[in-house]
Amino acid sequence: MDMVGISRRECEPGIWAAKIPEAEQAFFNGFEVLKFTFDREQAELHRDLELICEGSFLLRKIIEKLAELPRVSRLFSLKAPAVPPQGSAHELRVVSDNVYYRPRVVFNFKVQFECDQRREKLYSVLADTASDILGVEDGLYNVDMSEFSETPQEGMKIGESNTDILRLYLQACQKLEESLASEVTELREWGDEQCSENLKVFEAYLDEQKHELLKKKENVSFHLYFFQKEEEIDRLIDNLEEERKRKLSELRDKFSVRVKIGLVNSVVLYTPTVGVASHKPRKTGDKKLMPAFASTSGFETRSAIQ
Amino acid sequence: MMTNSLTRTRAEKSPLIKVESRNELSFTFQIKGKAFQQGYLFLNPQMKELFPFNEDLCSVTFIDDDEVPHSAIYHKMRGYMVCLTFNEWWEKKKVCEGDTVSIELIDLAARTYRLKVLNGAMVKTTVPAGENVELRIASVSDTSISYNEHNLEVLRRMVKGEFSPFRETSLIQLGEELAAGICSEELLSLKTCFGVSTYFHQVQTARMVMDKLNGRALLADEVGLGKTIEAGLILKEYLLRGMARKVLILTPASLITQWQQELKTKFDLSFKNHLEINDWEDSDLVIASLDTAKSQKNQSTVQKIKYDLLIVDEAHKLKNRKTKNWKFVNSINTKYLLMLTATPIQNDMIELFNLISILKPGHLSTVQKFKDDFLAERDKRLPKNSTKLREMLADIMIRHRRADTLIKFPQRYVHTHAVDLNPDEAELYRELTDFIRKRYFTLPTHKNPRGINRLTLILLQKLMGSSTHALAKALDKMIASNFYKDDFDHSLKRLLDMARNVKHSKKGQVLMEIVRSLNEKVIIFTQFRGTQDYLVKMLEEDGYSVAVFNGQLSQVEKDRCIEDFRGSKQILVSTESGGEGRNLQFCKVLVNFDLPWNPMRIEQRIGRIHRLGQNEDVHIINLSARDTIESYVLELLDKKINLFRLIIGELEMILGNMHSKRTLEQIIIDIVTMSPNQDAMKRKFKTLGNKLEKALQTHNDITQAQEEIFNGE
Repeated sequence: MDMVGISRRECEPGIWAAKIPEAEQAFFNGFEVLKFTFDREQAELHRDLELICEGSFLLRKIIEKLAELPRVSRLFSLKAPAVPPQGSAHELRVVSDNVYYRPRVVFNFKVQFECDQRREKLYSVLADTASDILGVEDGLYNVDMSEFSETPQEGMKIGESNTDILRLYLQACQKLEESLASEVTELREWGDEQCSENLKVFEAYLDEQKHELLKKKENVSFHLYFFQKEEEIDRLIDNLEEERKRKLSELRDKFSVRVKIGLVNSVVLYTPTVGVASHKPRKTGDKKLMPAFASTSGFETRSAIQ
Repeated sequence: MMTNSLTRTRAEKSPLIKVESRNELSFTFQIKGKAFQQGYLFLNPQMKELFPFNEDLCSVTFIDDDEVPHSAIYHKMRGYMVCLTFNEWWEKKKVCEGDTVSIELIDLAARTYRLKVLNGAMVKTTVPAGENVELRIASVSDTSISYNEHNLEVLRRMVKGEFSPFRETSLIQLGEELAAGICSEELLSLKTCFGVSTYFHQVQTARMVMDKLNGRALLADEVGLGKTIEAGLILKEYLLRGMARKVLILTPASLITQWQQELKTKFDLSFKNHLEINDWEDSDLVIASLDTAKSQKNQSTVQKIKYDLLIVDEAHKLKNRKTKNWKFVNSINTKYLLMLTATPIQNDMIELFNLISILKPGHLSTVQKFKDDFLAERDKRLPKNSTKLREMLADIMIRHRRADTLIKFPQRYVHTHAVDLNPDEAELYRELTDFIRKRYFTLPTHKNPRGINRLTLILLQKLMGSSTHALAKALDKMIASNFYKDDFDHSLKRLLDMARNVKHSKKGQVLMEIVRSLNEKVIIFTQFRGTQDYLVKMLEEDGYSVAVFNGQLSQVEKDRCIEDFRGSKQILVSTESGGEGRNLQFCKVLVNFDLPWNPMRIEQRIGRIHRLGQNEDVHIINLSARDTIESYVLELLDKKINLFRLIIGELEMILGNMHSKRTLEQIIIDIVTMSPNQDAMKRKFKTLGNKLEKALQTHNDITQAQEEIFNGE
């Protein structure tokens, strides 16, 4: 509630009243003042209270609202400094006694799969900027706050990274897509199968109906009112065709695979690292052309991840 | 062409590209450096004009001439694009440094551009201004995957160094984990139901519909087993799991309010009815009558909307595929569909076929084939091959019988007290009835604009049936309003005097005797506030603790009233709004001090204490005065259709068998007002009674036929 500017107070034990700002009222069903409780028994006794608990609609709305807020944090590890992992160039390195913070970036993703049914899964991708290693894990990355602090240790510099965050993000997405590929393929195959099975039944049904109507039309020509009856049957046959098109479109829509990837949040984890003297950039075609970019807030020219 | 690297100028070393040619919709440039191969496209100010976007970061798509899309992120402030697949394109097209490449705008709103290599030649590319370029994409990459726009907002913050306290970031994470962890085996909706004792068969139905029937099913439990609860569980489950957002419930008009209240009080879901919405498209949770939805005004709008879930109550109204109702419901675009009816077959097996055709067309093949396979020749309601039929129905229909559920259904015991009115009450009753009969057809005219309208006259009749106190209160108001300033005024005053002169109410006396004989909690229902005030006063004067419930109370006061009744107070005196959605099953005795002419309202009163969840037998005590309209109504309902012994929900089905466009209440009003005298009225009530008996018999026949079809008995 703090995050969206809603003030609240506990008006009775276990019962809260929140004043909703005008901008948020539409989201909360028009309520100006929202009275709520976390206690189911209270909610049962006082039916004017909104219940917030697992399985409550209001909690779902709150989570939906939270998901709209983009948030990024940075944390500094309290562990002892370590030597950084080797990069892609396997060469002898000189280790200095300088200690600095080396960044790694966590991207937490939510993936929604939809193909008739709908399910959500959570993944995290941890990108090590030094080694370009990206690992995809099930579930969101859980930070043990006993090992991190939100402020850096005094005197320890935040190291320069030559990694472009946008590129890193795209690489994380690519890695994630690779890990989802088999699941998406499986889902697509299932969807296609369901679609064609359902369509088969429906088309057989329509064909049979059409056949019956055509038979009726043949018989009708022996009757005096055959023009009218024929017209009616033709109309019914046209309706069947319309229905076929409509159903086909509905089935395709129902069983098409849709995967939506959302970035829940991102955390930059700084790990104390023993300094390695960086080699000078060589003027060859293999040079990685990626200068560091300053942020717009007037920082000195460094990586965007700082 | 690249010059010798040893003599490259500063401009040549720069990754910024020199534009060779440019127009409104495209530009060409000579590709240079390794930047592009590594996925970077640096834009000079000329090129930036072709990317006129406001956001700091935005997604842009390049389509190459093989129609392969390449997704890029444009960093506006820094003036570059990054794309992981530029390199693939480079290699595929065998692009070399110095080759000329063109970028051409395809669709600004979709932020899509064409990327082409021009074979090294410096050719001006022009796209005629204003010409629509058709976008054709035949992608080899997976176009079923898309990314939220919100992702770039997160990235933007990181790029700009706008870091938030970790507690905020982790709160969002916690929310997502909660939501994701919620996809468990257990039904989430069970955790937030109120006043609902869900039974095994209901939970089983909900699971079956969601897991096996893909959300499209005919819920055909016998009456009284809680189909509404089942539908509510499924609905809420879909909403909580994010599988449904847009929901439409179609019910008979008379049940809209009941559905709304049940969904709110039991499932904490706020549905709007069609009168409360401005726009069908904008409202996600809507409940409406079938007639309203299919009306000319609304039909095409409803048909255009893509619903996630459609619930149709009393679905047996769709038994005929030639009707507008059937065609309309069949035309609604919905992913999930629940149809509720206790009687999927009323007269003919084809009715069942027609219902199933909406849910899963073709499941029971065609009409002719269905008839050939399953219809017995002698009786349209009886099947042949019923075993095979039941197997096929198992994929689309769920039906439970009361006998199968092992639920104990308590008995209803009915006690009717026919009361002889005191002489002064009886005289008042006669005078009033006579007055109404004479005035009923005297409509207000321009000469007599202040005649009493019919509704008011009927109301006076009902008030008298309730109590003289309620009548006196109403008459007092009518006279005080000065509206009826004609000969009616004299009559009204006379009636008021008579009412005031009635010393004791016989019904009141009988009520006190009943209450004194009971040693437990009692609910007393009355239609009118005037009667309620009288009863409360009488009971309190006799030393009883009384809780008073009516529609004037605030929500908080209503809650407190029920709590008081549950706690220390012995008697609850309530008007019709009493106890809606509230659990009053701790009480087992109900007194109808007066009787509404609408039997559904009586059913609703009884339903407060006699429903699934009530473990003990309930006692219903009716008070009616002999030789009054109420006594005829009571006789109809008690003797002819056995109202007080029905399973809750059966009444509506029985009344439906009368096939009348008028409600029972309207029929009663017509009998009362159009009968020239008491004898004529009695005869008409008798005729009505016969019709109701027939309706009950039909109901019993249908029930039996369904037993044979669905249970082979």
